[in-house]
Formats: sequence, C-alpha cells, structure tokens
Amino acid sequence: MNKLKIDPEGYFRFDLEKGDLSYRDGGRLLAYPFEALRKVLETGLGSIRKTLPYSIGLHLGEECGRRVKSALGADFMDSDTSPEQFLAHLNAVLALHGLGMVSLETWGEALLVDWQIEPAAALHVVEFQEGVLAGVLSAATGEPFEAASVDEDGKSMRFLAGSTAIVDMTKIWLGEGCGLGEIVDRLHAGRHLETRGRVE
Amino acid sequence: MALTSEEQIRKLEEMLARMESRRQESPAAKAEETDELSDDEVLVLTENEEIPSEAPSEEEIPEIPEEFEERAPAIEMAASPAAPLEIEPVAPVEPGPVAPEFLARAAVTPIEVRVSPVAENLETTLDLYPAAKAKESPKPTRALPLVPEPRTPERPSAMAEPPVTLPQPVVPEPLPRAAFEAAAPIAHARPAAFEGEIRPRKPRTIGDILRSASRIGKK
Repeated sequence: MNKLKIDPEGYFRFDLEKGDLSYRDGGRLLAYPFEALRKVLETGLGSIRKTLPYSIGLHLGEECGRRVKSALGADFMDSDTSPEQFLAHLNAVLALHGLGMVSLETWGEALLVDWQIEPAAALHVVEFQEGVLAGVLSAATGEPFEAASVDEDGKSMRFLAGSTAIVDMTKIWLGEGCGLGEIVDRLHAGRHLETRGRVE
Repeated sequence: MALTSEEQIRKLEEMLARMESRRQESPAAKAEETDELSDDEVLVLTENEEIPSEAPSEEEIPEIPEEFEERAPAIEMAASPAAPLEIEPVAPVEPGPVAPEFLARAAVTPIEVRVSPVAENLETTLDLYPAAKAKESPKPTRALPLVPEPRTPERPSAMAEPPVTLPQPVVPEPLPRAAFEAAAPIAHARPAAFEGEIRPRKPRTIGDILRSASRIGKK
C-alpha cells in the first residue's frame, strides 16, 4: 500500500554527450549550487526582495507537486490514499531535489507542515520555503494553497498551510502576537472569513 | 487331706528334736566350748532354712491345747497343687479421715513447686493475650498451698484486657434462582439502536485532510 512509486535511480537522466540534465519523463533541469541560490535569495532585488525567493520556491514546489500527483494518480484526492502514502511520495520528491524532509500535523481542521531545518531550511529564507510548500500542495491537490511560517524550535520550522485567506490572516495574527493555539481556534471559529476584507 | 492330731504331735516332736539338735550344734553353743570354729563346724544354711534363733526350751514350748483338734480343719492346706487356691476377697481399706492437726500444719507450711519449662510453653501457647502477659514479671517458682483453693470463675489478672473479637468471614448466601430469572430479561434487553453493526470510524484520507485544511472555518 505504501509502496513508493517513484524510482530514485530513474528520476534524473544525465546525457553526457549533449551535456543535458533532465527528468527521465521530460523537463530540463539545471543543477544550481545551494550556496549560490542562498546568496541570491539573501541579496534580493529591491522591491522583489520578498517576492523573488517566494517565486523561486513556488515554481520549484509546483514541479515537485506535479510529480507527486503523477505518482499517486490524478484522482488521489478522491481515492482512499492515506496521509502516509502521500507523505512518502512527497518526501521522496523533496529529497531528490535536495529539499529535505517534512511531516504533517493536523490541529483539528488546520494542517501544519513540520519541515526539518537541514538541509533546505538552512537557507533561512522563509519566503522560499513558503513558496515551495505553496507550489507543492497546490500542484498536487489542485486546490489553492499558501503557507505561513508560524514556529521554529531549532530543529525544524513549522508552517500552517491553507487557503490564501487563512494564511494571510494567520500572518496578521502572528504579527499581533497571537500564539499558534489561539490562531487555530480563531480559524475554527471562522474569524478569518469575517475579517477577510482587511487583507484583500 | 487333713492331718490327724497324732501325726501333728509327732511332727511337732520331730521339729522340736531338730531344733534341739541344731541348737546344740549352733556356733554359739560351740563357742561356749571352744573360742575358734573350724570350717567344718560352720553351719551352712540352705535357702529355705531360717536362721534359728534361740530355741525355746522344752518347758517353754506350750502344750497343744485340746481344742487344737477342733480347729485343725481350719488350717487345712491344699495338698494337691492342681487344686485351685482359694483366696478370700479382701475388703478395701477405707482411708481414714485426715487428722485435723495435720491439715492445720500443712495449711501454714507451703511447699514450693517449680514450674517446668514445658508447662510454661504450654501456657504460652494457650495465652491469647501476649500483650497482657508481657506485663507480668516472670515467676519461676510459685508457692502453692497443700490444700488447694477452690477454683473461681473469675478471669486471671493476665486476661485483664477483654478478648478481641475477630470478624467472622462473611459467606455470601447464594442468590435465589428467582433473582437470576428476573435479571435474564434485563441482560438480553437491548435498545434497537444497538442492534445495528458497529463499524469502525473510517480513517481520514489525505484528500479529506487537505480539503479541510483549505476550507477551515467554512460551514
């Protein structure tokens, strides 16, 4: 049931005669050094200082999400696919791209993603990670997902994932000093829907 | 077989003659003549022979009274060893009353009776109140009067504390059959709502989790 449908050995294809790196099923790749990416993400470019890391992470995440969906099946959201199956394939794809490992937590209806600091979170660019998670979940589920960093304990970073309205209000409540428990309570109460006009 | 008087007289005369001869041959008579006795002159007595005392003289021997002949049958002896020995029953000797002066003397002169360790142990095993017993000082010797005192139903001082009554185990009485019969319908009575199949809660799929996460708070 939890058999992994992603073959790590056939995930990438190296064509040394052409100097081409691509996915086996198509799509070119560029092996970009980690430190080089970190410098780009830390430097930023003016007004797009926060949006560029998010965009880089979002598109990378979308590519990973599509491959997870391809492995589980296009209709996995409507099937009896367990959370364990989904997580196994998601982590396999993230690991092949050097993005580390994640785990899922459910606080009632709220979904939290626990992302290990090493290696991807070592970038310490929250926008990049939020973009990766938003891209992965959106591409895999077909639903609009966003992610907001809510907690960090030195070993992992915790992100709350949900709709755009949920994530936007979560960031506002975090700025007001609310804890994660109170934020979840407010979300269950639908407070984010009442104040939706504030963030839009 | 009864002896006749002539035979008795003859036997008495023979006995007297033997006694006279023994007296003359006795060491005392010899000692009157010679101070020393030879080994042959020592009288050797058999087991059945008694040491002859100083034999009475012929004058001292009383004559047999005439009524001896009449009393002779009274000392008849069984000549035949096969004849049963007739023994007259002896009346039991009734103990006489204790002399008052003896009892008075014994009452004021106690005797000491040492209690053996065995008796102490026996007493310990029967002692139900060791705490009260421990308060008493040991008494290795006890002075008991010769005349026992009448026993009284009072408790000894060692049993000053009342006995502790241990709770008796409660044996539950078996329930009557009617109780089981009355309980049976209740045990089988089950509301209709419980007759359906109890199914385990369906685990949440990843689709349910992700959809709920994106629609949280929506009714």
